[in-house]
Amino acid sequence: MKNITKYIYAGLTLMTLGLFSCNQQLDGPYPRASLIPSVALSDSSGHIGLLMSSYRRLHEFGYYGQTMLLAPEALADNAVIFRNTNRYISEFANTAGAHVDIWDDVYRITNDCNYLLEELNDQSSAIQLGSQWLRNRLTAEALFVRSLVYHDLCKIYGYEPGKEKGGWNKTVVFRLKATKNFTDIGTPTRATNTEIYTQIEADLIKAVSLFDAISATSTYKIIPQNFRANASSARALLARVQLYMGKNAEAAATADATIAGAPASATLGGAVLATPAQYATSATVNLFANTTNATLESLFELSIQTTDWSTVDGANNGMCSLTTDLVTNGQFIIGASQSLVDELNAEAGDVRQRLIVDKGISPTGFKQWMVSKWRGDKSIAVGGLENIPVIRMSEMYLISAEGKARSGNLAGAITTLNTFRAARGLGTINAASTSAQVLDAILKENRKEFFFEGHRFFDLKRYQLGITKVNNPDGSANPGLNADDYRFLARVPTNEIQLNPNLVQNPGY
Amino acid sequence: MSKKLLLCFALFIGLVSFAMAQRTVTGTITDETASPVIQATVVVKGTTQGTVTDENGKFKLENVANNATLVVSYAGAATQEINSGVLTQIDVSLKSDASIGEVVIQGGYLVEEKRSAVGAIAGVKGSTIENLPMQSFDRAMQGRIAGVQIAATSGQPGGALSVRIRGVNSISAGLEPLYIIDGIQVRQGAISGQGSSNALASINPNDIESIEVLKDAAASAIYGAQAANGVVLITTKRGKNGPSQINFSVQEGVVQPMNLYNVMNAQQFAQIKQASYVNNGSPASAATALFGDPSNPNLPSYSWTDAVFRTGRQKSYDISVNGGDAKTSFYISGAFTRQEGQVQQNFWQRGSLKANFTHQATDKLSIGLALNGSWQNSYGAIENGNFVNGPFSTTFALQPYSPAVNPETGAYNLYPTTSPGSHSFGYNILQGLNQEVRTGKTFQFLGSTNIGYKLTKDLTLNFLGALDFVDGRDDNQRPATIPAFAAQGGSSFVSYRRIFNFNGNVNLQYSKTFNTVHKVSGILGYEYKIEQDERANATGRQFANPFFRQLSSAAVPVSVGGTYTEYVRQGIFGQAKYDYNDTYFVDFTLRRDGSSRFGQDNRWGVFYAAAAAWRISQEGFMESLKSTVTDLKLRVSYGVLGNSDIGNFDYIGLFGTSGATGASYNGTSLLRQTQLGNGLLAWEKQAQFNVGTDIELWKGKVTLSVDYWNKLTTDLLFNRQIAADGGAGYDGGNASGGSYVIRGNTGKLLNRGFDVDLKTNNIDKNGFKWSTSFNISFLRNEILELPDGKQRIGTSLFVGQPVSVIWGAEYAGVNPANGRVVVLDTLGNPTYSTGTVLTQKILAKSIPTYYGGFSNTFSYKNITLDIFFQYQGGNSAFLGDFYNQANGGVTADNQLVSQLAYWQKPGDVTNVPRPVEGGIVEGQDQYGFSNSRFVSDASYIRLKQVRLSYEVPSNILSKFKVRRVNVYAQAINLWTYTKFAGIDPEVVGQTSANGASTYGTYPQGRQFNVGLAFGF
Repeated sequence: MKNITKYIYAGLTLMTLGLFSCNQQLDGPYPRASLIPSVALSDSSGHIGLLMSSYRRLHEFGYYGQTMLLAPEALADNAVIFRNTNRYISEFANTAGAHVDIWDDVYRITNDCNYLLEELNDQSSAIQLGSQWLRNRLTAEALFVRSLVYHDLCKIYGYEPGKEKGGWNKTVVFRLKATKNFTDIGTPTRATNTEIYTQIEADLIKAVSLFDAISATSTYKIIPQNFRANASSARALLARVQLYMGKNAEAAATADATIAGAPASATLGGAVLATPAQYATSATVNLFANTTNATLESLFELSIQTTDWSTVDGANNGMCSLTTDLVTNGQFIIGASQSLVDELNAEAGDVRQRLIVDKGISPTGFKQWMVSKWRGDKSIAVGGLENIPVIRMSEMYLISAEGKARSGNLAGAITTLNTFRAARGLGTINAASTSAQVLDAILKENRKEFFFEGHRFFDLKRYQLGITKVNNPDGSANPGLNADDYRFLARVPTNEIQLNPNLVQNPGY
Repeated sequence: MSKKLLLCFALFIGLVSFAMAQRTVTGTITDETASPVIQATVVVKGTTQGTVTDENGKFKLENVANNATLVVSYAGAATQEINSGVLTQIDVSLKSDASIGEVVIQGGYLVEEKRSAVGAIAGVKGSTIENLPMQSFDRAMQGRIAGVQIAATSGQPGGALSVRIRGVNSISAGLEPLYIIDGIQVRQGAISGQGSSNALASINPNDIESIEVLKDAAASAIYGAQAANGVVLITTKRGKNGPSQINFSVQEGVVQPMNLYNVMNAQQFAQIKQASYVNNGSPASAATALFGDPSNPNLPSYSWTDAVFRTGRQKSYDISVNGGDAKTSFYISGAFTRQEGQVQQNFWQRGSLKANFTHQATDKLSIGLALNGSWQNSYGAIENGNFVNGPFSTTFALQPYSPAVNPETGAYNLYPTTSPGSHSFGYNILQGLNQEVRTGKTFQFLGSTNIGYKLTKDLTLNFLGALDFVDGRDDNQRPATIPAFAAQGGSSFVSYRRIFNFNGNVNLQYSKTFNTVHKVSGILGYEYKIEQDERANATGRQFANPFFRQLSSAAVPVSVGGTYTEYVRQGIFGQAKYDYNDTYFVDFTLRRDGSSRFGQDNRWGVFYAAAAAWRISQEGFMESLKSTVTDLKLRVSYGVLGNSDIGNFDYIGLFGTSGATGASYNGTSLLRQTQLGNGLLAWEKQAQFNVGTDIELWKGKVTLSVDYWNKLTTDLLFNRQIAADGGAGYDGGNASGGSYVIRGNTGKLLNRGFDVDLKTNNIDKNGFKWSTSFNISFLRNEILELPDGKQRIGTSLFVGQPVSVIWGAEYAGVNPANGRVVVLDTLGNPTYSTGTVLTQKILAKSIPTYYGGFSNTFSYKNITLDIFFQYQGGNSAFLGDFYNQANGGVTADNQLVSQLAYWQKPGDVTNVPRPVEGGIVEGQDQYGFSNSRFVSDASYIRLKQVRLSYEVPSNILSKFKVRRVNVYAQAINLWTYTKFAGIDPEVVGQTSANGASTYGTYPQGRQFNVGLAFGF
């Protein structure tokens, strides 16, 4: 029996050993491809990485990579769809619910920025970052990106301050704190347009001052090219935001300051207004045909690299593939509308006429005016790889002119507009134009300047004009939108409404 | 009992008569119905001397030593050992092991007899699934076991299945049962990223001796941690004591597509496209230029379906040797199977080697070893989604006027021929299938060793070590010859994976009978499990020649990637069983498990079960019914089990790079929050109640088991949706279609139902036999509670509804006046507004409410006919395919012929709206929205198997020294009855929590094959 007892003890000891080592063994497994937040953000590369994530998200196809540039064109009167691949068909038809759907994309970006800003606020990060200037720079960049995307959302989901219809002043959920835990999500309400615009303006003013304050001798003063935000980018965005919020004089002043303050080359973080010769000598030689450097006029430009796209991403979703016939097995589904072409041709000498190429009649009987802006010059082989300019210097001239015209400085507006027109090969406008005529001329320039860059729908909305869709290539009528149509505002994603009882839907949906 | 008395008597006679040293023994082996048993093995124990019975059940053994023990065995019967004494005539009646009393079940860590089992356990014998042209045993189990719902999720040979034991018991955690093969807790699921695959297909079903399914808490609580979804125990074949037997089988056959969509020819397509163009205000000539002139009766037409789908060949070869003596036995087998799929290039093959040994080293020490090495090679096809390079969605959509191949040159045409690239991304699916390589090659090793040491007569110490090791490589090559990939100069993606999965346990088992009636047994043990999964992949582009396949030939290395994940689980368990006089039984089980998948404070969970059984037939008051009710048992059990089948690191907040191809912006690496953490995450719990009865009438003529069960899952490991505006918790990278989720313990889910299993021997007369086996399960699945007291979440989860519903607008038809789509709003009023939420509601439920199988076996002398039906019903599925194939021709996709019934003029009464190119009329979507026109009843009954076999009589065979020859012919999926409008009602993913849908699914095929099995 003694032997047996020994075995029993042996067995039991074995089991007990197992038990005591339990928790230690369960602590063992750890993910190797991911990090816990405290490790991930323990040094400056973590903070920079978080900022890079927000930039990277900006050029996803669901945002500036495609949707943000094409959906507003299809919703408005600049584009026609001449091949039916189910894309932009409902936007073109202004179907209820079809709009610029970037809700999800934006909040992923704002959370990156909020997370980073909270980290940077933490004093210990100053030590991790090693340099106060780096900290300032990252803070300013995060504020810029957050402001950019929140402003985009405001344009899509709400009316601009002072332009509310039926007093509807709700915009979007406005979060300035990171979602670090499940409990941070809550059930917030939609902020008013004034709340958001006020905060964005303040953030951008802060970003400008942070950028400006970086010591001139610091390596963080200038990051070559405008692939990341800098002082000029922040000023430019501030000008745009002020214009949308109706601070017209301030908008004009900020735009003028941007023009005056921007260094003359992209390598110094600056941009210039292109001359007619720099803008375009032909459809293939134009401002947008850039390979390594940022576009001459870019105040902020998204850089897309070969590694950012998997095999068929470019051919399936790239701007070049959708708008031109340059990519092998590309899409070539969307082109300029007849009314846009007519507008461009209304005045002789406009260099921008060179960006429209006549591609004849499509097999389905549509007239194909190919837009030659997105030419995939970085690599046609990878499906039309190219950068996406988000804010260009030309916009500053038009903001300046519009701000002046709307704030009583008509002469100033005409002068600025004429400077801009000269840069596009056009003559001066009638010096005796009324305010309405000048604003109309500015709107036309906006249309001709930024077609297929996602401005048109928001310009019409800001001008409180309807959308007239005539001259479909096949001759069929498209009713367009009246100025007071509810579809100027996008439908808040219905799934979100169900998840958050405090989220109210826009009128009409 | 009387047989044993007879033997004792005979023995006594033998002793008093004069002793003979050796003699010849003859006899007849019969079954319970006194029919002769052919091919039963009779072996002199401890020697290699043995024989098999002839067609009259007779055997003859010469030179048998006195008092030698004869071992009589036969597949499906309990092995008997008989002391031959000095007898020269020994007749033995074998008892079928289907009888309740004699079945030995591998219930958990303990081996027990079915009559004493208190849990709900059901099984399939290896002989039932032998030589079926089904690549994995889970597929072969389909319809055979009450309470177990099995559906193919793909028709890919060797592809995936879903197995649900007693309902869908979780919403976001895993639903698959725990599989244990010879003690190895194997991984199930995919082992390749290139087409549907199944880890369980690494086992050759012909090597399986038995499959047991543990369905209730009493049976499975000993596995506590992962047992909530049930446990499937697989035991592979062991050697039999006796002369070595060699078995060889060969099978050949074909697989054909069945019930493919009937799509339009060129003329029909041209007609509907012209209507669609004209209705949109476009000139008819524009349509004619693209799609041809519908008035031309000779418009050339091309069938993509005929080009892409094919009849595949199937073959398999299988050889096994088994044998042994009193101390050592072995079973060794080798097999090769190859099966082609229904589309070009697609195939699956497996080579497997199996070796099982058992050895009784000393009286006290026994050792067992089970090894299985296999190699799977599959050439996959893209399925389950609307992909231009997925043949199951694209083939039916491609335009019929545009042939895949130029008949003169044999070269692949650009697609479509009239305006290349304008439809389906210009992808020629036939070229894609033939030139794009997508293979998954996997080597898998399963091995377990167990050592048992008898400490005393009653106490045994056992050790088990079990390993499941997978090494695999996936390849996806996209040559530059395919226009879509020309720009990249072709690309090659290679992915390696290595999975290490180990489990081991040590346990003490005790068993003792006191005073002949009190039987006590118990087990106490410790178990450890670790699973690591590591993958690395790389992509290269720009190959100088399309036949360069290795990454080293790529001019442009594009990207590298990889993942690593791991978890550890350990537990202690104990079970005590008491049995009074084979009549009253009680069981208690307790298990404590810890898992690394939960935060430090919530790792440990305690699981338990209590059960009792009463074998009423043993009672004195049943004596009068003894001849009718030969066995009757009542069982009841209750227990709480766990589920931790979630991601390995779901509880921590994480940072990483996922969702960003290239993981950088402008060359600077990026980092982002990839997961929201929940440190409170803990075990999902499931309380299971079961009450059941097992009845055997007339000595096995009828056996019936009926169980009622009820499973309440609480603390669901719920992937609750969270608001997108939090910006965190997105599970879809940057792709669209993902959702924002966080895992937490919340919600309640109830499953309940009945399992009925009835086996009868209907006729046994003059050599003709007919037996049937019928099972049916009824179940109801209901969400009782959702997070935060919500009544619904999104469009998929509703309190009071099953976890899987189909959501959309109720289609009210087409307005005969103008051809526009009319739907009903939630108040039942007709409206044109197809896009608003006011029209959307629950349209159908996609979990079957009943399912089962029905098999009949008829035999006359040496000829046997098996007919097996499998069925399920009460469920619907969404026809995702109809987005492409039934949209009235308003896109460039080819259409079902049925779409020709489109509305043409006022007064037309039809279900197909007026085609308008683009599909939008006055801002309202006419086709591309979820509506009941696309919902179809997926109930079906299917003739799964018909098999006719002939056993060659042994008097013929004995001349050729062949032990056994069996020839057979069989058909799989021969006939189906269903109202389902899609291709295959079985492959609809009906058990997923997201509503069933058939969007480019790989349907099952119909198989015919013939085979030959030899035994020497």
